[in-house]
Amino acid sequence: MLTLVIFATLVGFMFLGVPVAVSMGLTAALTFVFLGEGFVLTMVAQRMYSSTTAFTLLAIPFFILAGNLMNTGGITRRVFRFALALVGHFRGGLGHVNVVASMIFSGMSGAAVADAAGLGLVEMEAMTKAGYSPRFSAAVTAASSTIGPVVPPSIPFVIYGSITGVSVGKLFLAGCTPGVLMGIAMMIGVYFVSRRRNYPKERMASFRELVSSANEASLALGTPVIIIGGILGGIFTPTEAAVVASVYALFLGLVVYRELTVQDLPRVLWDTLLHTLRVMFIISAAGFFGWLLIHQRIPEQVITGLTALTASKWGLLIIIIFILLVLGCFLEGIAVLVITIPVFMPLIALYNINDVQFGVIMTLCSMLGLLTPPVGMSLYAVSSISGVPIGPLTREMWPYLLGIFMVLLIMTFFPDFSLWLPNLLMGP
Amino acid sequence: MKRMNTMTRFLVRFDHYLISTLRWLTLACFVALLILLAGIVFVRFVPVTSLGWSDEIVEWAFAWMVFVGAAVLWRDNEHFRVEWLPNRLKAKASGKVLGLAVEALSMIFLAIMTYYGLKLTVAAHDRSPILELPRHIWYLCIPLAGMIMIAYSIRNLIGRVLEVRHSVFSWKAQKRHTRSRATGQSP
Repeated sequence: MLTLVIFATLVGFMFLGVPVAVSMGLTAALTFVFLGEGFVLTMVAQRMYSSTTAFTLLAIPFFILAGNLMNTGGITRRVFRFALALVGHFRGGLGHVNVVASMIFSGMSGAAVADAAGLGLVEMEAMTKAGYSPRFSAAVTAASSTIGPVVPPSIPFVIYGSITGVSVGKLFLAGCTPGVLMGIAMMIGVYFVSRRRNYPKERMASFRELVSSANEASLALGTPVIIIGGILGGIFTPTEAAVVASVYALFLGLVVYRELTVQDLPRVLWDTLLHTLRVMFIISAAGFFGWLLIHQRIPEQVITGLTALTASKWGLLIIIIFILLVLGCFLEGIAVLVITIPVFMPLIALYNINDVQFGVIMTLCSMLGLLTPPVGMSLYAVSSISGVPIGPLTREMWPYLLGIFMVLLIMTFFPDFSLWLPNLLMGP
Repeated sequence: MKRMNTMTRFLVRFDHYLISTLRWLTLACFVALLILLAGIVFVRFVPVTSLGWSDEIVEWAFAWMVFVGAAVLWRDNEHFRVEWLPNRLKAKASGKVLGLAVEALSMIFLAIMTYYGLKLTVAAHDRSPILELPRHIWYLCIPLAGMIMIAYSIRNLIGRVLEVRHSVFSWKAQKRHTRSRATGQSP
């Protein structure tokens, strides 16, 4: 009962347009006051402070910075050209290029919105010039931008790891397979839509062109190697890997490609901060909100409720996915993660579900949330960049939503798909 | 009227300087973090010096970056919010009342955050283990950010109240106008 009241209040505040972070803090504060436990409010500042200053979370601004630097520093175009040489000759060529470029770029960037805004712009321009409908190019761009946070580096995994204590390195590795599968699923979607609408294909690149474009993009492709290799080899922590990736991106943009100038830097840094601070302020307030949940034993209530509903692990996972998808429609992705992780974690332990696999499931659910109205950040970002209204864009989305959903189901029912890589490289 | 003007001018100038200072402070924290963390990795491979003292600075810069930056975003109305309902009611008087309510609700939380942030800051008078600095300077960013956010919320609130008053007046005036026109036209 209390659980329902708390969540209804929270959703109510958000619906009115109260900033997400404030909604969480206010809900928690009001609940404490109404329960006559106002003295607990002394924890506000402490919880907000300690939940923002976790060292792992410091990876967030630097992964975003690396992505933004790559976007400005001429790397985006090289990645695009490489993808064009790879898959441009398929039916609906630029649609496939869009997906593949996003897959490559996702190895450098941790946030979907950065992908949609930078690389997405290049992709949509090229597609419009080649005669694709704006709706189609916008839909593919929005969909493919969600590969970014699944393939490492990834902001949702950093947050999940920081709250649960699960190894971020393992989570990163576990994200590789679903990320690639998402790309394949989207390319299948692009293929069918393109065949029906008879979209053009590009001229097939010669082997020489392929090699030269790969060569041009190769330095950029070094970023994921640095990040994953560094974390796996125990050379640095995820946070340090993010910093090293940023420094590497700076070096590429300023010194190697010389397409980034020092004058660009304040703008790039501020763009990065804008995104980071939005996320961090939500995490900060969620620290206090999570304290309320634990203080009122909400996870225990949810456990009793859900165990009464189902005794099987699969039933539980289906219910959880349903809850996450519904929440994802109405709340912002990071907020869903930080609110539900403390509630679901005890359940996961109780039902013997692997916590790395569960991290993948949660991240995929929040990616679907990014693409579903009324609250879908990627959808809105791409809509405002491309000028395609939300309605038509959403209708054009469904093949890709279906694709991501299929990947989600595979990851849910076949844990080995996500776990084989981390188990192979880091041990179970 | 004239005094009002100098006051407004002062506030506009003050807002400008305050926000650019805070923006630069946030950026400086970020750059400092980048340099410090890169330095930590560097000295691990090339051990020319030890950066053991840096942990506390990193924590300080991170906390100040987050909270001071959040205040800047608050002023620019950049925090993430669900804009479906506000957009739908934008043109109507009810939308203005909604804006007023949202601002007031936000201020309740900001006040709580500021008050308890201040209490925490005042209470924390032990010293940090390495640099031996008082813990206040770490927590201070919370009440500071809270106060700045409240100040801007008050500004917005005044603006909203003026807007609501204006829209109610203009609505009444319009109603009077149409009524008089209607009566005027009837034979």
